[in-house]
Amino acid sequence: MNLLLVRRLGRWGIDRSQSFTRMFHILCQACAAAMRLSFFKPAVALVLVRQIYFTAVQPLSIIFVASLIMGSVTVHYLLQLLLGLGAYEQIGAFLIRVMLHEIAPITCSLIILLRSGTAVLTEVALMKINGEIDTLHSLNIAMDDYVFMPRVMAFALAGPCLSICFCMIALLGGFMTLGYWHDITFANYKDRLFNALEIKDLIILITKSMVMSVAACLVALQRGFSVNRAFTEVPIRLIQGMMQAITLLIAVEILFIIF
Amino acid sequence: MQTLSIFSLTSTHEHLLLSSPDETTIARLKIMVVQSDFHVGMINDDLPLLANLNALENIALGSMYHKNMSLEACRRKLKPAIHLLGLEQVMDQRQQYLNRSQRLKVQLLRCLADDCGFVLLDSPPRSDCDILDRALTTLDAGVFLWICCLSSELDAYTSLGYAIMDLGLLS
Repeated sequence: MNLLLVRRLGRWGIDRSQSFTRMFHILCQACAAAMRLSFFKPAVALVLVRQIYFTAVQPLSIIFVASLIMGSVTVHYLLQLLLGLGAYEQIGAFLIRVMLHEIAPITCSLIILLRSGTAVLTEVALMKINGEIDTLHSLNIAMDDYVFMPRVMAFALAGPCLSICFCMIALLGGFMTLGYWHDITFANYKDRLFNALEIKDLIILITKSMVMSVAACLVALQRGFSVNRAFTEVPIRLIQGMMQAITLLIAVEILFIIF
Repeated sequence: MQTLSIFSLTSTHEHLLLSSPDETTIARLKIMVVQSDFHVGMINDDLPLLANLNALENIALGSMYHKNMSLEACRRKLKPAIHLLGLEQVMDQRQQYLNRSQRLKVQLLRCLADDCGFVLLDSPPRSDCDILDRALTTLDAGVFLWICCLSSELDAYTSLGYAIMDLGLLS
């Protein structure tokens, strides 16, 4: 009984560490390709532009709606609470902290994961099953240049950019929709936000959303490449990938809270 | 006994029918072709066109990656060949929308774009050989077909009139 438990635990530990090792390996390969400036090659640039468009531009409409709804609710409740408590001075600091440190990076990373992460995982898995990866090998095209780097770079760029858009729409649009019900003018509200905003907040917003997006991308690439030859493996890897990515996002969140 | 190598095959400069007694020898030939520097392209269902690129991007991919050529430069370079093969209308189509003949011609152009002087086909359907043979005759680009097959299937290809070589001598 105990032996079986140890065996299962051991297998779980090995599998988990192997997937993280592979993810780290993919990250190193993508960074090496970026250092070699391979994105200047027309073939790689073509993929990079398409990935950036798909990951960072196309979700703008979803981000707009999500940020407006979440911003309205957050601004409304926080203003109601803080004005009720008479903590007029704390409005800017609270809203900046809640929006830049938590809501924006997490929401954007989840949208990127659900939208682009699933697409990358499925695309890579199908490329492998259909033999397109073998085609790239036969053309002597490096995986790290053509597959890894453009996707990792697009995710790394999309996370912070979408988070910044999210914050701006949520904080300003949020006040426009529900904030004016409260006893505070827009000029006053805006001044409080800008007075509370520090460089540190922006750094946290950018770093956190970048780390979360890249983690989502690495999981998608690693799980996509772990598919062998059967189409039936794709949904299984997709579910495993999503669960692992969400676990990683929680881990990143905890790390940022601790440090 | 005389041995056969990629070099001796390339030095023949003619269409070849390569017969092998077993699958292992064919697999060994394919590995040698991939690893060699003799610019031998391969057309094979195991090496398909990329599904998320259109026909022209598939053809130009190797040149864009290795020679830093732009898509437009590749289009200009291959325009006569594309015209001769009647593929102008399908250059912006993805592989899912191409028929078998168009797909084979696009794969042939991919080999030409990579400056391959020889194209290896592994046990292709006879109809594929006819399509590619006609395409190469039309292009007259000095590219030669190598059709490899099992000795037991050789009869299906002999009417092409290609010189026959025994892969059993492959070194």
